[in-house]
Amino acid sequence: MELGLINGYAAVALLMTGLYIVLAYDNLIKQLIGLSIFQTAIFVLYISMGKLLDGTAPILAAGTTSYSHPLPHVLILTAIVVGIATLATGLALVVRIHEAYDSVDEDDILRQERQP
Amino acid sequence: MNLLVLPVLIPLLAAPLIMLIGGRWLAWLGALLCASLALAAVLYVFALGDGATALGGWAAPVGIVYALDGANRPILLLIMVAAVLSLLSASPVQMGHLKAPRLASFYALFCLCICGLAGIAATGDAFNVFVFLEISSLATYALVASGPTRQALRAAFHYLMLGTLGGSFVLLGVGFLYMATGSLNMADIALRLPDSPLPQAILVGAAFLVCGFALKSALFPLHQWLPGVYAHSPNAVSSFLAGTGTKVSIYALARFGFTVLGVGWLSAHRIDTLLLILACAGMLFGALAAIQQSRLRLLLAWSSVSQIAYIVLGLSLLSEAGIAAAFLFMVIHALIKGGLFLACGALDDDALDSLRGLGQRDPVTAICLSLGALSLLGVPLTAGFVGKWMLLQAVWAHGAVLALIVFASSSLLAVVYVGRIVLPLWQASETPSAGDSPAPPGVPWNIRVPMLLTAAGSLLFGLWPAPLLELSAPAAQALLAP
Repeated sequence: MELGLINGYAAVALLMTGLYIVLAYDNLIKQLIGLSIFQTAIFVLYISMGKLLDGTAPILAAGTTSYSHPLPHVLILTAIVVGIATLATGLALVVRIHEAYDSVDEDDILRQERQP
Repeated sequence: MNLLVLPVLIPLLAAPLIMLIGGRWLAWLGALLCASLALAAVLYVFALGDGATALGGWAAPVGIVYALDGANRPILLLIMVAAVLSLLSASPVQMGHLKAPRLASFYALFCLCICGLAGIAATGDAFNVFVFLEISSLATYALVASGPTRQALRAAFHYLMLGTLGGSFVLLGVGFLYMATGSLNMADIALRLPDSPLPQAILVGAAFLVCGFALKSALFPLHQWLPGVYAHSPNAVSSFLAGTGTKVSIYALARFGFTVLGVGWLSAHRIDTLLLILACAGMLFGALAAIQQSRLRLLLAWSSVSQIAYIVLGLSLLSEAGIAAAFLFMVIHALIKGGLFLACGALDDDALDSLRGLGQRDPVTAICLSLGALSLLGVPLTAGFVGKWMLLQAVWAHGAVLALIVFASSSLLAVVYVGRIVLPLWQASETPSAGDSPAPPGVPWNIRVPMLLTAAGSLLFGLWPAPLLELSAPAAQALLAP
């Protein structure tokens, strides 16, 4: 079956979903969820870039002639770690913001800033 | 030449050590020692000369390469000097609002930030740039959040969202370049680009890279995170970030633009026009916003938005003179802005109204602030003048009349905001009681020394710009070399 650029369309759909959530929601936790979806979309794009139909893991074995490219997968391992670290830092900041403002809503926090 | 890893490795190893040793003064001394060692390593590597080193013995297109050339010399030097001076001004006394365990992690994060920035400057591998960008950014988010007020937390979160989007755009850009060429080594990508089977992927990748680095370097209109971050993070962090953070991103933009994509590709796809327009808009917008601020640190932050646009203007000319002027401006602006933020550390309150009469109360700080502000404006005999003059000449030679007009108007606007800093300093204080009140506690030496050094630097390089010119001219040659 010809799949064409379906991986690209899937990645773009996820990318736009994530970006929309980041921009449209005031809740800081939801913004972080959006950011995670956004990053995951990039992981999907990278991983699908190296995948061949019928390709296997790049291990020499009898009967296999077609291998998937391992490098994008390895790169994304690094990027996943970075993504987790970012999410953890973001959540830690949200905890501190909640302690300081007693809210995780951006509008609410801005209102508190304006009336000290 | 293998020693080029040292400026990256020393801070990376120092960070966990500082966490393990802990303490307050010990952690500070450790971080200071780490920054000084890294500076010494950079100077030593400079003495050894240019060249590339393959990590782990894997040769260039496959392995990761660290390369030293004219373009990253000024950046590495800038990072380390700014790190030493900023750390010096961030002793446990200045960071008194942080409790003991948090203080040690503050210094460890500072080292990680140095490591990330030095990594971006040293590496010749496109994916490595992303990794180091994220190392420095993650450390920066936490550093910003360690500011004294709760607004620092909000600024840090805002920066985290936008910064991560920027970092992700860079990752996407690198991915598309890899898709088009099958290589991650910058020099190798540049070789393979002309024969790429997917020219559209290169265009998409370049768009993502420009967008990502523009976000990271706070180029108008992607600058929203910058004022909050500069205004609310601890003084030493503002000073370090103002000197290095955005500059390293601009360096990375220049590296991808010139070394990887090449001048021919950039002008064929009108990237230079795009950057020129954004730079012109940024120069005006930043200066207009700076005029309206009532707090010194916010004013300086908005002036940074304007000054970053000046640097990008130099790059967008795509000429050797333009790039050299951009690098010169970058170094000089880091010196001035870093120094001004250091001087903010000597003030009790950064409201512009409270600057009134500072010339009587604390003449040394007032002189440093005035010198820095005048240098920001580009008054002759200061380093700022040299930077603006070279940039002006490059724009003139390029014949970009509109840019020239915007340049002049933005400089005129700068007169207004610089005046708002300098004039109150030397006016008599309105409330006579301020003079009679018990003498304010003196400015500690560890703020005064770096503040005086940067002020002296902006005066010295104004009179004797030769060392800076020698540093920035090879940058243009290295970036434009085929």
